[in-house]
Amino acid sequence: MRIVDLIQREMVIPKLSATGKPEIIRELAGFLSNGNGAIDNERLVKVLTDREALASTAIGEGVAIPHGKLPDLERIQACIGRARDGVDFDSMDGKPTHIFIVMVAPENSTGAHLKALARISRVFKDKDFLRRLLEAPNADDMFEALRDEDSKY
Amino acid sequence: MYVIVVGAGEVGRYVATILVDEGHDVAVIEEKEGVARDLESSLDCLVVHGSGVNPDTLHQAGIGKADLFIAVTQVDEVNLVSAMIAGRIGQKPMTVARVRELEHYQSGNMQAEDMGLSLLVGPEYSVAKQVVGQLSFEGAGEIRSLAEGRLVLLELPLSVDSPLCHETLAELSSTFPDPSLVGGIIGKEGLRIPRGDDVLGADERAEIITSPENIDEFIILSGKPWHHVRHVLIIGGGSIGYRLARELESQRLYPTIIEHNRHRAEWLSRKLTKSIVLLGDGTEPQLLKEQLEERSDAVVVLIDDDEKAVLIGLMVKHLGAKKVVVRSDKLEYAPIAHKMGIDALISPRRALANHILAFVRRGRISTAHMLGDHEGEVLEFEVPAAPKNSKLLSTPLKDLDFPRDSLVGGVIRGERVFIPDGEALFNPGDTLLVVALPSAIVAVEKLLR
Repeated sequence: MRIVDLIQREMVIPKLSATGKPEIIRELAGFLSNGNGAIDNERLVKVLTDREALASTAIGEGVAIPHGKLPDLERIQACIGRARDGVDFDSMDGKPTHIFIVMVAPENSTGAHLKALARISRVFKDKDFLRRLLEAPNADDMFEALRDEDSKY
Repeated sequence: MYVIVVGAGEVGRYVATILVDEGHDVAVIEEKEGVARDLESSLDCLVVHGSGVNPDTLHQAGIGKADLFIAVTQVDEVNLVSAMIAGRIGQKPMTVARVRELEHYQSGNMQAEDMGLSLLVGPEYSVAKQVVGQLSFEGAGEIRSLAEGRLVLLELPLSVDSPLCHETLAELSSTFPDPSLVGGIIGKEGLRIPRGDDVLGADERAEIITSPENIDEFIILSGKPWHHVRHVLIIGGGSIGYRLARELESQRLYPTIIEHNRHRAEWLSRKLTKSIVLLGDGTEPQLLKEQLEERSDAVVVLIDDDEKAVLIGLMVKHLGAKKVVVRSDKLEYAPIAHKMGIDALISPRRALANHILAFVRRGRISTAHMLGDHEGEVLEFEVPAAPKNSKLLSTPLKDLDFPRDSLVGGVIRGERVFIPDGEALFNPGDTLLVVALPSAIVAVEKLLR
């Protein structure tokens, strides 16, 4: 499974503007639901928020993977957002989070979304790749970085 | 091997049972007549009623032919003296003595050899270490270090969403990060060795052998939320609790300890300057509720009553604790405890038996990790340069006739760590990790000699 099969070019947000955890979830959810009529925005916000309440989805290295499931969805939808200044996302190392990959899966998804998340957690550990993502001047270059990283695996 | 065990308490009985199961000749010396009789009727071994410090009793138990002598009574001094005498009057048996305050000897630079013994064992310290390991593991379930940290053994509960519950292990091999393998499955029927067409159930636990870098991926694949422990509540400030708190303090995690004995609580608060010591009854629901509401996210239950410990574990889970580790020697409770959300049962008895068994298998097998209530073991084994089994170095793994209830779960060759396929050939010096049910252990040992 390739990352670029999950995240299309138009699902890259080079500059998130929110600075708090609830606001950033709202911003990311808004972006994802705007691009997809099947996603109910309020519902997505709730699903992501509920998951964070269980335990933060920050996975270290300044990366977080908020995720959840929604009914009436045909396939996994994902977007990537960047906050260069970093956001306090209750990460385990206490460090701010810069890269957010949001993933939402159909309610009846069995396994596929976890496989995708596991893959993301692997790819987004590479420090050089993360630096390149952070330094990329625009969405095109961020997407380019994703595509290059995919070809390595 | 001829083995004498002194003391038919929890530990002695447990170790003796495992040794008998594995086909060793065992004699047990027990001072209390009732206990001795009881053991005689339940275990196929020689039981000698008498004192482990009496040379006559040792002779009766067959000290002259003993290869290994294990003293595990409740009393440290008895164990030490008994093992010393055994060493003197026997034909050079290996001697093992259990001491509760192991660090006292170690900090006084007193090694087993200084007392003429082969090994001193004390479970308290290793239990505290194990608990620390569990607390730093962010997934649900258990973690253990294998082959000096080159690999880990994860025992993961699964959510219904986990791909492990929907695809066969063969299909999943492309999903799993390298190197990794499901080496065992713990289900209703106990431990089983998986096959390629196995699909796991959401009520089962997967025993996964993998390298430490892959832990996060498996936590995600399990489908259970991960959690980073920030504050630990310890119920019971006994010797394990004290060691655990000290260990946590050194990692800048400052725990809260609930201790019911006033003197002990005062002693703890003097010794543990950075922990919070509360005087109170840690089995009191109201107190636990207050503590959990305040800030604890992990709870470690360290009370001596095996049953009550599990019950308190269930209660704190119910009260919202994210991670729960319980000290209990009643490993029979593990399936139900796991089902109700307790992450790990840590058994001092098992820790001690692990240590002793590793010693019994000395030679090519360096370490044994017990699975469940001795439902199986992960053995670490070094391939000899000139094996007695001449096929070992020249035959592909698939033709080596490994017993059905076993599998080679990993090979460490110098810098390389890999999961062998059927065509793999072993080299001298390779470390093999073998998962085996008890029925297969003797055959595996023979094969790898």
